[in-house]
Amino acid sequence: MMLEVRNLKLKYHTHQGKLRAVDGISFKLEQGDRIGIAGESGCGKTSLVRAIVRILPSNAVVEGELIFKGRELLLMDDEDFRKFIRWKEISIIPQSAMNSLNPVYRVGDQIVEAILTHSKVTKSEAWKNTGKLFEFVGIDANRMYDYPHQLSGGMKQRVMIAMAIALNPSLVIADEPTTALDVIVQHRILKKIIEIQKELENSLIMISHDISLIAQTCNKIIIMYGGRIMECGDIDRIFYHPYHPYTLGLKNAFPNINILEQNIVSIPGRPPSLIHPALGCLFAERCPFSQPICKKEEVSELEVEEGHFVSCLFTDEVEEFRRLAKDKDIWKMKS
Amino acid sequence: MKVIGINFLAQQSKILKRNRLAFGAAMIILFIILISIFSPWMAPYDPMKINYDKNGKVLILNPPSNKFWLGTTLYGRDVLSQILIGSRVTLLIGFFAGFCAALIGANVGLFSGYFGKVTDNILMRITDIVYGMPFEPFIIVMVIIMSPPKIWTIGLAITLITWRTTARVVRSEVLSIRERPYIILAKIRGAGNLRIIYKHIVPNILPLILVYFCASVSWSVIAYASISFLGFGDPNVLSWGSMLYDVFANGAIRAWWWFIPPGICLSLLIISLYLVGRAYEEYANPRLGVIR
Repeated sequence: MMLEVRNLKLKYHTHQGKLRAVDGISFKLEQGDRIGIAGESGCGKTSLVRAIVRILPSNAVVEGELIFKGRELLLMDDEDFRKFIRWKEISIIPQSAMNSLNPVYRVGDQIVEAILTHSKVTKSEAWKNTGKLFEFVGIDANRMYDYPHQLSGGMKQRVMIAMAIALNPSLVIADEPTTALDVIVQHRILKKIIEIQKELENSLIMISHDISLIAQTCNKIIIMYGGRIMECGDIDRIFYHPYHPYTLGLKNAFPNINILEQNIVSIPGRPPSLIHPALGCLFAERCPFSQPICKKEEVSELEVEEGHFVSCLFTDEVEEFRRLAKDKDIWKMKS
Repeated sequence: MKVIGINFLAQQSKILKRNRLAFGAAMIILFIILISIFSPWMAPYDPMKINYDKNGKVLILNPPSNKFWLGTTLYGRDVLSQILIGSRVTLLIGFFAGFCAALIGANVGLFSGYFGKVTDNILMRITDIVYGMPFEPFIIVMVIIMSPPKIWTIGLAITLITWRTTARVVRSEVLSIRERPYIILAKIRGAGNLRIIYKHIVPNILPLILVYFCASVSWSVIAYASISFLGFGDPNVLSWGSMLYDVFANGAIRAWWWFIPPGICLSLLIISLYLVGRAYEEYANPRLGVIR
C-alpha cells in the first residue's frame, strides 16, 4: 500500500466560520496506480493535495489519517517531513509551470538544488543527472542552462516534470498539469507523464476539472463534490456504468467525439456552501432525482461493485436515472 | 547558482547604462571614491598644517592663488587638502552606515515578511517605535550618550535609525514574493526556511535592496554632515561637514572659497547617490516610467 487516506477532514477557519473544504475523504492508492481526482472548482481537490504535501495556510486544520508506506504523515514533525518525505517520496507537478520557476536562476540550478538537498552526490554528478532528466522528458540537455523566460510554456511544464521525478519519488502529484497549454502540447505532456510513470512504476495522483483528460490518463477516478467523494472506482466502470447522478451530469457536460451535433448539458445551480453545509447529500440541491429524504439522511459510501463506491441513497434506481439523464430537460432547475 | 557573481557586475552596468544621467552620477561617485582612496598622495599640504608666508606670518583666509588653489582657512590651512582628505571620512561614514542600515533593514524585512505572525508583529512594532523617533535629535542624543564622539559611534547612531525604511519596504515586497508559486514549490522541494529566504527571495528583491542602500548612504552622508555642522562630530576628524562647521563657528562667511567647495562636493555626492538610486528604482519598478 502506497498511500491510504482515512476519513481526512480539512477545515479553514474563516471570518464567516469554519469552511469544510475536505469532509471525510477515504481512498487507497497502490503502487503503480494512477488516480485521477475530478470535480468542479472549489470542490476541495487542491486542498486535499495541499494537505498531503503540507503547504496549507495557517488557518487550516487537518484531521484524519494519512498513511504513507506505513507511516502516519500527519503525526510527523515538520523537520522530519521536510527531510524524509518532501520531494524524496512525494513530489508535485504544479498547476502553473509558468510561475513555478524562480526567474533569477537557470532552470537547471533549481533541479540541481533539489538533488543536492536530498542526496549525497557531487555537484557535477547532479548536473549530469539533470541533463539526463532533461533528455528523459524530451528537452535538449543544453536547455538546462537557460533561464525560465527563455523557455516556452510546454518546455517549462516538461522542466517541472523533470524536477518532479528528479529523486525518483514513490508518489507524484500532478495538480492540473496541463491547464495553461494548448491541446497538442497537452496531449504530449500527458503521454510523457504516463510513459514516465510506467517506466518508474511509481504512483500518480492527477487533479483535474476535465474528466476526459483523466479518462485518458488514469486507471482510477475519484469524483469529488463539496469536499466529499461522490463516486470512485476504476475508470472503465465509472465511465460505462456511472451510478451517481452527479457523474451522469458531468458526463453530459463534456462533448463526446462520437456523437456529432450533440447538445452539451450543464448541471444547473452553484456549488454548495461549505461554511453552512446542508444536511444530507450535498448534491441534493442540484440533483434532478432528489427526494425529500436526500436532504435529511446522511449518505454513506456504498460498494456497488468490487472497488466501485457510490454515495447515493438511490443506487437501486440507477437504470432509471441513466435513462432519464439523457433527456436534457430533466437538468433544468426545479423551481 | 551563479547569479551573484560576474553576472552581478554585468547586470549593474546594464542597469546604469539604461539611464545616462545615472551613469554620469555613478562616474562621479566612483571619482569621489578614487579621490578618497588616493587623497593622502594627492593632497598638496598636510590639511591640519598651519601655513606661513615668507615673513613667518600665518596665511589667514587667503583667497585662491597659485600656491593655494582653493585658498586657506582662518588658521592658514589649505582648503583643497582639507577637501581631499575630508572626503575619506564623509564616504566612510556614508557607506559604512548606509551598508549596515541596508543590511539590518533588509534582514528585519525578510524575517518579518517571511515568517509573519509573532515574528512579524515583534519586528514591525520595533520598526514602528524607531519610526516614531525624530531623525537628527535621535542621532545627537545617541552620540552624546556614547561620548566622546568617535566616527564609529556616530556611524552606529546613524545606522540605528536609518534601517527603518528599508525594513518596511523589504517586508512588503517579501509578503508578495513568498506567496509566489516558485517559492511554495521550493518549500515542497524540501528547502529550509533560511535557504528560501537567502537563495530564493533575496535575488528577487536585490534591486530593491540596492535602491534603499543608495538612499541609506545619502541619508548617512547628510546625517553625518549635519551632526558635524552642529558641532557634535569628532573634533579630531576632518570631514566636509566639519569644514562647514568651522566656517560657521568662526563666522567666516565672507570667505566663499572655504565653504563653497565642501558644499558643492556634498551636494554633488548626494545628488549622484540619488540618481543612481533612481536608476535602480526604475529597474525594480518599471511602472515608474523612464523618460528617454
